[in-house]
Amino acid sequence: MTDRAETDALLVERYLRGDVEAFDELMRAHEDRVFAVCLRMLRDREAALDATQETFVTVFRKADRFAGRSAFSTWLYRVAVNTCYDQARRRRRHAAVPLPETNDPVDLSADDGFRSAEVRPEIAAALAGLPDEFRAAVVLSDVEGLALQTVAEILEVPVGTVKSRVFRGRRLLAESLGNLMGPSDTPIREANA
Amino acid sequence: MPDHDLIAALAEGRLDATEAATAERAIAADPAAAAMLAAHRTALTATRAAEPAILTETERRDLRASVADAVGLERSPQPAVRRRAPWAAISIAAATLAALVAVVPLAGLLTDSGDSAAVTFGTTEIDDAARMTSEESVPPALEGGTQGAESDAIGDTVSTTAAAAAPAAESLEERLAAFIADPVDLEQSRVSPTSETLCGMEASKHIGAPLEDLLYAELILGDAQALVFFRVTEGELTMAAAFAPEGCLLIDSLP
Repeated sequence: MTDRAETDALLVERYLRGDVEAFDELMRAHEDRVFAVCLRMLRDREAALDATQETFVTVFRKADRFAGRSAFSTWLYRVAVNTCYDQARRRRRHAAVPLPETNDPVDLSADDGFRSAEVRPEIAAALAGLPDEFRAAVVLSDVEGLALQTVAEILEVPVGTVKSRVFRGRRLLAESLGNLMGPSDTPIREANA
Repeated sequence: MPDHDLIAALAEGRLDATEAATAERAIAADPAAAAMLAAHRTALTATRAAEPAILTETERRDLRASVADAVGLERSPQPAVRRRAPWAAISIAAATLAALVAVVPLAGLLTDSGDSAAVTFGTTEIDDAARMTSEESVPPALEGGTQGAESDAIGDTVSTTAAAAAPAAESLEERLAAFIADPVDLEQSRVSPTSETLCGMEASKHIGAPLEDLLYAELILGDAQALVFFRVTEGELTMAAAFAPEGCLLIDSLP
């Protein structure tokens, strides 16, 4: 178990004993990354904030069920990805409000006044064009830099499936970015079928 | 046709030089594989270029508050409006205390004792050094803070001793005045925060500079604590941000 995982496990224990500082530390350690995953999954800042909030609420409410068999972060990101899937499905059902083409503008009225750096619009659009499960694999693996084994645990699929999703997701992403040059052994649409 | 794992490994840079050269040759001989490698590299370049998505401080505060509320956690009430501490006091304290670490002649101060105020640079405690920030300068938000609770999170260790001779001065206030009038080279007093430093990430985001470009001081004033990150340009304190360790709430900033 990594230092981070051990620290998180102890923090969860402290949280369950009512330690408010443990709550703050867990939030501080993971909120940016959960938000980043949600933003790349949903491409909408408000939706990502909602999903981040829902993720943490779910995790803290169910913290007593965290058995420590896997890292807290793995569990947390699994909840985040599933929450984002649910959000995306809900938004598709309410398609009267289309997915934005670009990320929402940063809230410049925030009194703290710093801009949050986000993925470039064309990359965001390309990511958004991926099927949900491919996007999750690419976001976790290539954007967030998680190991394939960790991604597999988060997505609850075999490592081979993650590899396949990342592989195909990258090809779709490259195609979407307009830079997929030359012939390919398998047409992407076919591979994606 | 080279297998997909090999193509992915090459694109990700996971092969050593010899393996990579061999793989490159094999892939170059196969147009389909070459196209696939190009696609991987294009996608990886794009995704790796993505800068981190980060919460604004307002979003962060709201998120923590709403989650805490939803799970029924009783936290210390957060101020609706950011409380302002007298920045002058904190900035003077931070700059001066940073200088204290580097300037041996001033180590005479270290022998003073008897005051609850202290500043920690890494593992170094300088008693009395924060006395110039009077009690009224303690930010209200920090009252009842967690003194010393996070000191382990500080990455750098600066060993400062009181062994060096220091010119005698009449009072701490006078020594402070001397500092202000004749500032030392603050760059030499660099105590760099690390990624493990509590609130370092928030400070980096707020100041808009990488952590390695910042200096850091932990300010303990009685029961309160402030983590001060600042930037020194040509010997002048140009940017700074002070955080309460609990929740890394911004207390104040300069400018």
